[in-house]
Amino acid sequence: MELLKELCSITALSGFEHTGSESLKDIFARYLTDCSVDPSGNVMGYLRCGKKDAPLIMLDAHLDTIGLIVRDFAGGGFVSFATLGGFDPRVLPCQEVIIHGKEDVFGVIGAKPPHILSKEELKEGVKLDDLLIDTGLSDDRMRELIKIGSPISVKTKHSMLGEDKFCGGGLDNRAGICTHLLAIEQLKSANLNADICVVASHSEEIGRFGAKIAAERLSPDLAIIVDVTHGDTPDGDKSKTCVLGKGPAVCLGPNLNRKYTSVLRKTLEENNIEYQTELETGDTGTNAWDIQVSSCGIPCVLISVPLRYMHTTIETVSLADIKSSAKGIAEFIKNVFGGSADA
Amino acid sequence: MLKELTSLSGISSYENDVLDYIYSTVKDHCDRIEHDSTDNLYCFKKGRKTGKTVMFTAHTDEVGFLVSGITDEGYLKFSSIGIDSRILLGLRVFVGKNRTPGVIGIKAVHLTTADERKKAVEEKNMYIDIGASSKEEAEKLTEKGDFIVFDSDYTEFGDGKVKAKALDDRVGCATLIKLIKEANFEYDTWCVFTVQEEVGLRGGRIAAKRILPDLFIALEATTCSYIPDMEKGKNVTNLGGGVALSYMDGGFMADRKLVGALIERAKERNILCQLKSYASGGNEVRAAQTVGRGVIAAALSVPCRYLHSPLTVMDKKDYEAMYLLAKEVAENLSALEVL
Repeated sequence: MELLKELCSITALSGFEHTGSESLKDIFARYLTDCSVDPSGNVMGYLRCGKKDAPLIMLDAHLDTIGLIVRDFAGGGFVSFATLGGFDPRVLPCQEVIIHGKEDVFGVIGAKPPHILSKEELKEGVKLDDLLIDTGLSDDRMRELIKIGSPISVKTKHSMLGEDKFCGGGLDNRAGICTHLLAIEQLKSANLNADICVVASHSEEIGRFGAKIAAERLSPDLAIIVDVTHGDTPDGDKSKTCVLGKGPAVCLGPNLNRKYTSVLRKTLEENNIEYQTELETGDTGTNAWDIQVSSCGIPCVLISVPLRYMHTTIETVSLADIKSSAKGIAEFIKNVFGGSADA
Repeated sequence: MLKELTSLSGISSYENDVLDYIYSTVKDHCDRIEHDSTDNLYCFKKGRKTGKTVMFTAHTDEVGFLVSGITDEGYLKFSSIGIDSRILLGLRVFVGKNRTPGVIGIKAVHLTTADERKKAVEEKNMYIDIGASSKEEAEKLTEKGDFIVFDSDYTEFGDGKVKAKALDDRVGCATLIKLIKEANFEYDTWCVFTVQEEVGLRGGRIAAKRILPDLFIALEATTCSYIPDMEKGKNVTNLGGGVALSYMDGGFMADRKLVGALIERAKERNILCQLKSYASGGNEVRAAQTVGRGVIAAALSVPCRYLHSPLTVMDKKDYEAMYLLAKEVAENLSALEVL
């Protein structure tokens, strides 16, 4: 899964996506035409059918990943930090970070050793305010290299877990971008009556601004959103999670267009693509919620890749789920917008 | 050398990879090598003089976990050796000899309640995901009793800092290897790489009994719990403040005369040196002092931040200072006038 690994290696923290947009544009250019970065930071590219007045399909997946940001200097080579996007502070001790200052500065998120903690302290969950990043630098050097507001990546590795699972930070939502590009690969030789614009949208984790802007600009006839959804874990509520390896989750609810969603499900069934359903009675927590009411209203379908340990550096997906999600999207588009054989 | 040593897996009683590496490094530099039933590695260096026996130790084990069971869904349950479980969530590990990658999972923050986030997850409720979908699949990769170590690379950063797993006590091992290779020993000296320190100083106890030395020096890593605005003294040591000595810790009273003489010697030779400011932790000096005929003993330690975690951090200056002071003891012990 070289493409996924390549996508995960791009640094584009929420609000600081510009550091990754050019590299992503280069990857887009291998699959799409007219690739660009819009003024707000969305990365876009087209697969055009060459037909006049063709309808436009928007394939959206967000580009940004969560991170941290320098809040203040704490002395002794330490800095305090705030989060860019939602972290459970309990997963942060002993993580390694890169502070993006004048230079990239390596640091570690320190934990007090157990020798000096009381029994009560050991029972409490770690709080964000208790955590500091240790840069190992003198204060002078630290202030020279980084500043308040410097964004911080939490370092991560990517590796297989078992034969089908891929693990590492940033899969929320590079898994989505990967899915769209794999779908495009399957659509390249298809005879379609629609243009497709793939959008890697910015700022999803901090307010979904990018997708709104892109949807207004493109005013597409249909938007297919791919994001991640919670995968099954031993400590997670089974009714709120989807099983890894059992295919994509198709979301149902008022956020999603009922007609297109039922065609999508039918297409998946006809193509023997295993899928799961998830229900959301209100905000799906994805770009779909904002795209739906952009422009003069845009019909949306939402396909989610099950992912364990969301918003950690050990996010885990099934590669088979990404492949079947991509196939599902490609077949769905062919089904709805496919041209006749002699067209 | 420290990079190789910290990359090896060696939790208590699974230390053979570390011992084998050390053996291959020192075997051509020793006058005699012995082993015992616990796998302690004894390296003998003949001195310029006879009549006294000196002993140095560095322990080969590190903190880690054992697989305590496998769930029906294919997740591993584990028991830790010497670790504060609050640091474990979201970390990567390697399981067993084949280094099967695994992760210590936790449900997504979105699925937790505010109350849940206030509490530490207990180790008994944690699990390791190795990507297996069933017990049978997991059993192909591991079994109950298998060892687990942190996945953490050796990285140099900051102003001369090093981050790695297991600096406690591979920094002691590296120092002792260097001593064996480079020091001109004054007295007959046993350099012993001891096993199972983290589960109760077990290898050190046996080794001290076997050698019955006149002088015992443990080469160790000790805690530096410095954080900004900490109550003065509670930081125990300072990173970059030099080799750490102490008159007492959680487990022993060092020989006062010896510690005093070592501090004096460090000053004379301009070796960076500091006294620990808070009595905590413990090391093999305790074991050596409580066996045999009694022995003059002390510990030389490199301060480490975040001890017993995947990212122990030390300053290279302190490592260098520990080596220099240990070399002084090895080469010019009689000048300390403690024996």
